[in-house]
Amino acid sequence: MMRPPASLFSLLGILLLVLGSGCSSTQSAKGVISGDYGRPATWLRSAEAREKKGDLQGALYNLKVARTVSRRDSKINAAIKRVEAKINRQSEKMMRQGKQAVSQGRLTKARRYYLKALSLNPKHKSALEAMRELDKRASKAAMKKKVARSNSNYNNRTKKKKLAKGFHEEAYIYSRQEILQAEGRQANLGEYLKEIETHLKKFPKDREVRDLLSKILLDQAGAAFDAENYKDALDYLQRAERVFTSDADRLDKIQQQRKAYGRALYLKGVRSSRNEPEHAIKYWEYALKFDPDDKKSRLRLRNFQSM
Amino acid sequence: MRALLTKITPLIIFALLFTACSSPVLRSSGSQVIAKDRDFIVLRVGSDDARSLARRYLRDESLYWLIEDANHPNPVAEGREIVIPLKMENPTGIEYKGYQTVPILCYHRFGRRSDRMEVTPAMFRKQMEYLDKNDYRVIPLSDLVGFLKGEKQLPKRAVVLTIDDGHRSIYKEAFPILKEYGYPATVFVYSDYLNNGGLKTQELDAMIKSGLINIQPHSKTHSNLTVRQAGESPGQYRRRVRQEISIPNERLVKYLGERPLYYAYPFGDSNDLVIEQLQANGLLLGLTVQRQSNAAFSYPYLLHRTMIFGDRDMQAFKKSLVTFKALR
Repeated sequence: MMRPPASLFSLLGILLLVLGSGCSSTQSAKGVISGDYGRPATWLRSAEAREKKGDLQGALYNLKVARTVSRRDSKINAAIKRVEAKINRQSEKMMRQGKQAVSQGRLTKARRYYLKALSLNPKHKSALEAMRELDKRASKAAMKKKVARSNSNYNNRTKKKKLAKGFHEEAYIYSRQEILQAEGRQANLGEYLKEIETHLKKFPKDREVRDLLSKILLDQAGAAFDAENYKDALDYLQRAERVFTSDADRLDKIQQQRKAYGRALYLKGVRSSRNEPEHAIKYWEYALKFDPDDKKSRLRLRNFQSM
Repeated sequence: MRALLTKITPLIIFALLFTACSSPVLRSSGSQVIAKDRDFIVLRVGSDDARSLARRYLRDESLYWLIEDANHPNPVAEGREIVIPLKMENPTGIEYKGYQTVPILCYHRFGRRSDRMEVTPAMFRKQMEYLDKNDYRVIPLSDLVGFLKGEKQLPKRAVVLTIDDGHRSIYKEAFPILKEYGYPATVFVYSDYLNNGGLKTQELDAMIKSGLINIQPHSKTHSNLTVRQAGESPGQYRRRVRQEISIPNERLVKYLGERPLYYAYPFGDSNDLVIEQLQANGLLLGLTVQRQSNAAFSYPYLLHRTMIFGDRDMQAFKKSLVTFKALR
């Protein structure tokens, strides 16, 4: 048998080397971790889990990747069609329920249905349109409220010729807008109060924001008092006194609230004096903290302590 | 035999090369394609990063985030298997667990005072650094248009930067920091202020040339477009609104050579008449200052923006970056 020439062997050797290192010669096998992405079963398992959870969009995504990995698998194609049909059915149902909710004026509910339709199919044009329409209504209503405030503030201040110049006016407007818009929606009351106090330090004559702060502090004091959290109730009242130190009307209102709480605590003490004398003492002590001039509580305390 | 081998060797070489290069395991720049169809590429990463993969497979390096987001929380790193989506699967960012929202941050002035409206350069740098270190993707405002039509997917944790009024401190203090991070921003200017206390033409030129800064209108005089001023008749008010929108538009067309597309309402206030005028002037977006982030279904003429006050701390800044709203 004839031996092939040595040059042919070396040529084949070079060829194998080239192929071994891939079509492009930059491939590096360093650190390559073999995974499961190339196995359709991985994606099918994940799709199944997502479908079970109700995440049909996620399930469809995984099925499509499975199809990429295993193109000729008819079962995967069938599963894709099945999930797509399920998405269509469910999203259309959501659309019908959404429209019904809109016709009944239940917009929050409608929003939930449309969002659900979009979470099934994020490309659902009619659901997106319907959501935008709801957002438009809500945004316009919020803007109307904001503009009404801007108008009344502008008119009040123009009448009194209190408009500031340039940047100062701009800072004033933006600062108060921020506070008034967050009214009733603030996530952290402590931060909100701090924000209001910062504003009032700079713009102490902003009556609307002063009213707002006064209302919040007195409301909070009331809520804390009702929850029998007397320490917090007292803290809120004291904070209000510090803020409105030179505002006689507001100080008077705070004083009235102090007296009312003092009276309520005195009566609580009386009611519990027979069965729970320790509680009674605490109530009267707090009554005196709210209203240091409360003679009845002072007398009761003295009598109890001398017994 | 020798003649036969000589004849068939080139054929063998060609066949081997052809088989290797067309096999399911393609190799390129160290990355191996495991599978590919019209929807996805499944691939084992070699020495590539998300940018080089986007350049090669998506034909656009700037779409690197599409690869990163599709594989999150797994990194696109050597040896990892990843999926590259070839289509934008979720242009509205709405998924099972919740939906994407895009915060638009609104700045005004930059300077030494740590004031309501004035942010110090040090604080601004700290904020940009926070965005950078925490994987936020600062996108231009123009990217929002496609998202709001439900046509263009945005990177997760996308944030838009805007700066109102056109103070000169934008050029002096903010622009160098933006350049450093490569962050785009939209500057809304009120036209009477340009070259008249506010930004100068050459400053605008330099910022526009950088490709990072986009200039858009913020009225002519910065008067409130929803408030009828003292002694102003309804007719005069309507005329003023028309002018406050059309005049800065015309000036910017003259100056920039292209029609502005977005409008920031002075004091963030708007009404039906103002929106009507925006639409008549071909403007696509109207921006308020109502603190909230924007979903794909947000009404484009009342987009929310979050004011960044100079006297607030980093904690407040972090809280303003709401990029996802949970549904369940």
